[in-house]
Amino acid sequence: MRVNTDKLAEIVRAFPRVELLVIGDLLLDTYVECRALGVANEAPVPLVEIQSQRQAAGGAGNVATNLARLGVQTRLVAPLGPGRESAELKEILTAAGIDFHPLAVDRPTPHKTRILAGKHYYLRLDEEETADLSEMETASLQGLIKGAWGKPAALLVSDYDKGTMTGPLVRWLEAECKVSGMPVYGDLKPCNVPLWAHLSLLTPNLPEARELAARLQPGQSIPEEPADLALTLSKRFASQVVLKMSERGLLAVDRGGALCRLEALAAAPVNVSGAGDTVFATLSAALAVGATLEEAAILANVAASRAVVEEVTHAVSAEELLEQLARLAETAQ
Amino acid sequence: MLTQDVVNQFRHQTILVAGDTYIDRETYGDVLRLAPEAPVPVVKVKSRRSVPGGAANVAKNIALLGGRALLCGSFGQDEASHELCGGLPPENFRFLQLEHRPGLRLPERHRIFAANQQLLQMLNTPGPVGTTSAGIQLDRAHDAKAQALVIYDQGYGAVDSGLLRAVETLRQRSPLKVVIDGHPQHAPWYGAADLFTFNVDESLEAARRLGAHAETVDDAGRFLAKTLASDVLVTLGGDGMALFERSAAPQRIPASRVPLADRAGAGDSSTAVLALCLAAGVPLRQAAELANKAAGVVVAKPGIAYVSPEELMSLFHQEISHLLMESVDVKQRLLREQLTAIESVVRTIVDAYRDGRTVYAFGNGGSAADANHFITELVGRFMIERKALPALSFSTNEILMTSIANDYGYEQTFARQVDAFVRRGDLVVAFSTSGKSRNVVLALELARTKGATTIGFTGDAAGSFPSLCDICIRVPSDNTPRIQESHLAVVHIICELLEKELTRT
Repeated sequence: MRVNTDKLAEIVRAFPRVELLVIGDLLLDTYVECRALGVANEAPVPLVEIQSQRQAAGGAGNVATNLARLGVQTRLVAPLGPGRESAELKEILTAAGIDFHPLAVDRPTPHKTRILAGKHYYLRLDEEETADLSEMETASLQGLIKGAWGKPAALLVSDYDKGTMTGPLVRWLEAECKVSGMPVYGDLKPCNVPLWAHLSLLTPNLPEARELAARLQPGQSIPEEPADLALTLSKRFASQVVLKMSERGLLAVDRGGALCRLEALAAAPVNVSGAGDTVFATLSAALAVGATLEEAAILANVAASRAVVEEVTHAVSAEELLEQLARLAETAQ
Repeated sequence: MLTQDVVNQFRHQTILVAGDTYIDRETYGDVLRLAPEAPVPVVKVKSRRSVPGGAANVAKNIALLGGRALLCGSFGQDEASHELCGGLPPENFRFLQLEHRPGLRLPERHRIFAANQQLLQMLNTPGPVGTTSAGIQLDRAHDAKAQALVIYDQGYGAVDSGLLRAVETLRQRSPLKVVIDGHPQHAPWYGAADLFTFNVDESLEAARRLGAHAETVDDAGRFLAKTLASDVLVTLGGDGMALFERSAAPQRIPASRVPLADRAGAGDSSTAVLALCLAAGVPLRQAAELANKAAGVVVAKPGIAYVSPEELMSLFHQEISHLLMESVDVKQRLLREQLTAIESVVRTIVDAYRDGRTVYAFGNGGSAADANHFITELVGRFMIERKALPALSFSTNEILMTSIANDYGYEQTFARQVDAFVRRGDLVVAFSTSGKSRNVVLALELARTKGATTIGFTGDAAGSFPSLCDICIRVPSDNTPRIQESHLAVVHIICELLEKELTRT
């Protein structure tokens, strides 16, 4: 496939002109970096000493961070729990240049704490309460979304099934988007996809796509081939589908059923966490500035190859993406 | 003093606690899956808990045991202080803020559990937390009229040479008992105290720092007791404690046999009990035993745990039930192993009486009582009215016994009587828990040469005794009281059965 890197660079340079609204589940990622001291004397378990702690935004927060790093004017509306760590998360998002409109809720922000010593990963602590938002909270969230609406080119929904995206909220959003003719790009947990009637873009990973197909056609066999799987989903939602297949790259299907397969570019990924959010953000930004699905998918694939070579979750910047494109142009010659 | 009385004394004691204080954090959850990004457990958090650690936890233990704890030190903000006292009643737990240091962050220790199993322990030590003028301020503690002072030294910095000097001065001025939970690096700073506690590694390292090369806990303990001019207690984890008193030989105190959850908090509970006991004037050996039992209660509970006065008191009941169960256990083994032997004894005695023979019994001390008891049941009656059975105990006649002992030596006391009374076909019943009593053995040997049938009652470690008996009842235990209880039970069974048999018409 001939890649027109000049055209792609032009798309990237257009990112700052576009405004995107992200809603969904905001997650808090904490990385606790430790030094191993040995074995505890009261029980035969590792004893470590905390060296440093780092907070990062996950879920919708990571999608927004990726968008902001790409230069997109980014707004984020999401529930935020109480406590010191959530307050820090708000600061992190604001410092990243995101226009963040938090909905203050009583329950804690879903929190993943990873405990590491160098490259050794001990365990992960997950804290969350995932009941649906109450009617009153949903109403407040709608108010916040209205206030933050501005002139977005698209709505991005980052749904981790943590209780934000409820049926009533989805129905209201679809009505609002219909009025303003705004496309909805969804990175959704399979169980919540059926809530939606109109999606412009769906970006499941392979296991999610299989689960989704199984949910949509109960009792029927699930297509083995990723391409058939993507086509099935595309037909069902009349939407563009980009299948994230980790080391096997990306597979894009447009509304007409045209396929585009992209091999993963990174030879030796170091850390793949958050790469899905990078793909979703890059695809969305590119589509929002008028790129074709193929162009958007190529850019997302390039961005992902840059994200996975970093030790920690990395949001690729517009500059980094342009560098990657320049390198791609060199190797192509 | 009975445990009950010791524990009741706790509420009259005031204990000062100073030293390293930190926050113990605990996270409890379940592991249902592995993380998608790497094969490590994902702990779904169910609850979190923060409890006072170090000196604050010793103080909390003291308060929960009914004593009055006065925690001395620097605790930074009120928020941290609040977390430290954890809602304990103010009459049991008070702070003595020695030095106000706003912005001070206490060190933290964080344990992560899933399904009651500890997975990981994390330390967070934000830097030195020394109390620069604590030593001078400790003098104020004197006014508190405390009976004991605990110095909790983890090497985090709250215990420095200044504080230790102040402790020595205080100890000279008042009858305060001083207990130091020691840190090996500070061993060269320590003056005399009433008691030092160390774990095994700490004791070896402390000895090394004081210039001795100790290979074993015994070496280290003895050396430390001498060098520090103090009693020393070394906690041995799962093996209990080793006590090194200046005035007595080293002693081991075995750990309570309990199902172990983990050792979190056990050391602090044990230190609290030690301090309360010493404050109340309980002898160190008993204090250590009670502290050891308190630790046994705590290690059975997961995470930082505590022991209540009621639990300590119930330990006395547990001891009683443990001894009763031990007795039951021996009887059950008897049931499995000795049915045939008991049956043959009954058969042999019945046959002997039908042939007009006589039964003779003897033993020393408790066994003499068993022999007499047996004979009494035969000459008198057991449960059914019947004619008297000819039977005689060689252990009853003290005039005869002392006379033979005096003239022939004690080992002839029973043999001489065998010689006098026993005829061919008679029955000789010998009781000896050890199987080694010389006078019993000699009497059995003579009885055999005279053609008597020999029956023996003994225990596990029975030497040559069984080979001298035609029938031997061996109680499967090496514990004298348990053996004697079983002998009596078997005597009663034999009497009941043979009486039934002999009264059958």
